[in-house]
Amino acid sequence: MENLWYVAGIIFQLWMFVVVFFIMLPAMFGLSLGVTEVYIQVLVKILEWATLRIQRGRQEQPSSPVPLHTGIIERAGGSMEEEMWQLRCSRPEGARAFCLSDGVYFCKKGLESIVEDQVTQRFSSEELASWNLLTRTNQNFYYISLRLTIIWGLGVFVRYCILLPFRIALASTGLSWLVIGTTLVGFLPESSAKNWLSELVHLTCYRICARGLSATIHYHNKENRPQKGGICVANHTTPIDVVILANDGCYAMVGQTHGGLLGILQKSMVRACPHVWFERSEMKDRNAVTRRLRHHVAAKTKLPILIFPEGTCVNNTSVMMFKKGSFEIGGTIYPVAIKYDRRFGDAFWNSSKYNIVSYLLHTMTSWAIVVNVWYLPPMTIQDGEDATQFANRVKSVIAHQGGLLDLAWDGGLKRYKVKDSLKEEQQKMYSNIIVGQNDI
Amino acid sequence: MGSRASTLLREEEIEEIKKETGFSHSQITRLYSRFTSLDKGENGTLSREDFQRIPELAINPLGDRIINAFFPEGFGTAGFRSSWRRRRRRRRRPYRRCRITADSEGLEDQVNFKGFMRTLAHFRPIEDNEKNKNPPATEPLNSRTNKLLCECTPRSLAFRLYDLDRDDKISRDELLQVCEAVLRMMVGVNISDDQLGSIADRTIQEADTNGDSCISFQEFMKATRLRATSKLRTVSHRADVSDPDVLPLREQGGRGGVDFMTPSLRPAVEQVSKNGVGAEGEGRRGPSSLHLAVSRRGEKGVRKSEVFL
Repeated sequence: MENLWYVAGIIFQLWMFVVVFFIMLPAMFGLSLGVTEVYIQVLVKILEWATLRIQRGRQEQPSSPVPLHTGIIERAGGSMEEEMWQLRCSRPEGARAFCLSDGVYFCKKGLESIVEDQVTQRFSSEELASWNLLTRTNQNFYYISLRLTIIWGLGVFVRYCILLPFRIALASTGLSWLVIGTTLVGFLPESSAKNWLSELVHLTCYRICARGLSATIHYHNKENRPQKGGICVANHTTPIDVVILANDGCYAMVGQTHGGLLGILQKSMVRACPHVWFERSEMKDRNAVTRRLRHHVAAKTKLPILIFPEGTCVNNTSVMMFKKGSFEIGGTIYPVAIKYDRRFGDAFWNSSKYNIVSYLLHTMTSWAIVVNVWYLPPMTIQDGEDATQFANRVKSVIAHQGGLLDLAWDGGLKRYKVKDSLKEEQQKMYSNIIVGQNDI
Repeated sequence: MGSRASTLLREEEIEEIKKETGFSHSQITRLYSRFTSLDKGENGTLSREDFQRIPELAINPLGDRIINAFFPEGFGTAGFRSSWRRRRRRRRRPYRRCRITADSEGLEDQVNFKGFMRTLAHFRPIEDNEKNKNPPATEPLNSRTNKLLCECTPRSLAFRLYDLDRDDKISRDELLQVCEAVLRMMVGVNISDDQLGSIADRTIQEADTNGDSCISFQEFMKATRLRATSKLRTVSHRADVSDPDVLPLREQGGRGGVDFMTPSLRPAVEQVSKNGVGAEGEGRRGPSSLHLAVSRRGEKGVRKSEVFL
């Protein structure tokens, strides 16, 4: 019995030694020991070999299926008007009148959307072009070669028995130190030293958490980093976005107060620096929310607010509609584009399918999280522009930078049905085409 | 999480559907994965709500009628076939009064994958070489009954949407009624009754060739004849990649992102399927037909394993 305690004590001391010297100290100074880089390079070599092998295997076995990531339908692109003219070949061009073939147009559109539509595919994980040796991404399970299977098996062992415990231990260390550190800093009186210390604590602990996910983050255009008194908006893929962004700067978070573990975290964080947590009742009142955020932004000394205007997690292939509430606050908007590299692990949280614990387990048993973050030049609302147009402008900038598709659909369609007003818009568009010139 | 063994598609089912509908193996597996992604209840069938969850379909003015087409009450193969036989016998008794209503309360139907494929099969364009090959041997659904159906574009479905009581003719009153309903459905409340009436009259005048003040199926097909005939396109992935309209922007990476895999390896799939370029007569912008651009190579049974590992 005593031996057991003794052994546990030794392990704990060893662990603390490793964490403090190899992880925490470098994290405090923003340095990197280069372990993750080496790991990623080794991984790339292995995955390249695997891709080649799979390619060769497919050529040898012509019966093996091929993943299709280019969409199943070949659409003749064009607006409603253009496509309708194409259907009406028997009519003179420009005849603005109802034609039987207009029903065919709607029929065709309807069938196309049943087979493949632009919106519902954003709420599930994207398919990979080639297998990345994780079973969960292997849609077409078939045997290629013994070596590949051995490597896969080895990968399973490494991920589950070596990486997973390490990562869990690291993540919990990081979170607990965040709570302890921010609580301690909270006891200090308000001063610049307190702010500096709180920033240090936040940064260190987020960096430890990022290492706990084997995250490799590449920041681009650091000169555009969000400044104090501004609002940072980014596309949303996962709750880990917060960790990714907070690795490089301190932000004031915005969100609902929760109970339990998350609540403890929130309470301690707000002691050290002014985050904006709302009660559930307050969230319903949009004016109250806007007022509080405006108050925060107006005090130019406070940290920039971090907001995800999509309101929900989308699968990182597109940017969905930005809710205009964040853009009505005023102040400077600092757009940030986040793009995850899916080859090393899927970071998208499908909240309708997995809960947060299984999601974290998924993430911690992937190879790594590799992400590119682009800071974009600040934008402000222009004269004659309303909040919705401004939001769309910011959205297109982010989509353009991140190589994502710019969709006007609402991310909330994940949970609720489309509004009838959108259907009426389609009807209006059609009636404009045929009635537009009033020559029935 | 966990495996969805109950909804996996078996090899013999794929063969069956292939024989019946004429889709290729890879098309069937691809459509099956679409079917399962729409099936939120994971019970192997789709309900009307599952269809209405597709936003682009929900805003389509004819969306409800199209959804009805998938359910046995709409027109499954049985109703379709017997209605054609009935037509040959020259009777005008409608097969079934179908209640195509704007809202679908109380109609608790479910459609399974076979029914889904059967309805979609009505809209698969027939390839040229398939027409020349042995039509009676495999007898896909399209050519089973009447050679008019060989074209099989969405026009045949559209006719059904107009012909509500399914007597294979759009009579004058029917058309008036339907035009009003359809136009109102399609254009909302912006058009007055007089305008609707005149639209319907004019449409009948133009389309009716035999002077019986009704639009039959042939007249409908003639009136909506298309510029180009439909063809099934099976193009290579590389061709798809170069077409900006076909390919949604994906996996392009960000600007200046760190590239971990060399470019030659990344699109591993694109190099594999070069074959199956089919008969590319006219340009790929053939209007109005449902082209299914799928590589020919996927012939083996696919098991979509969702095992959490």
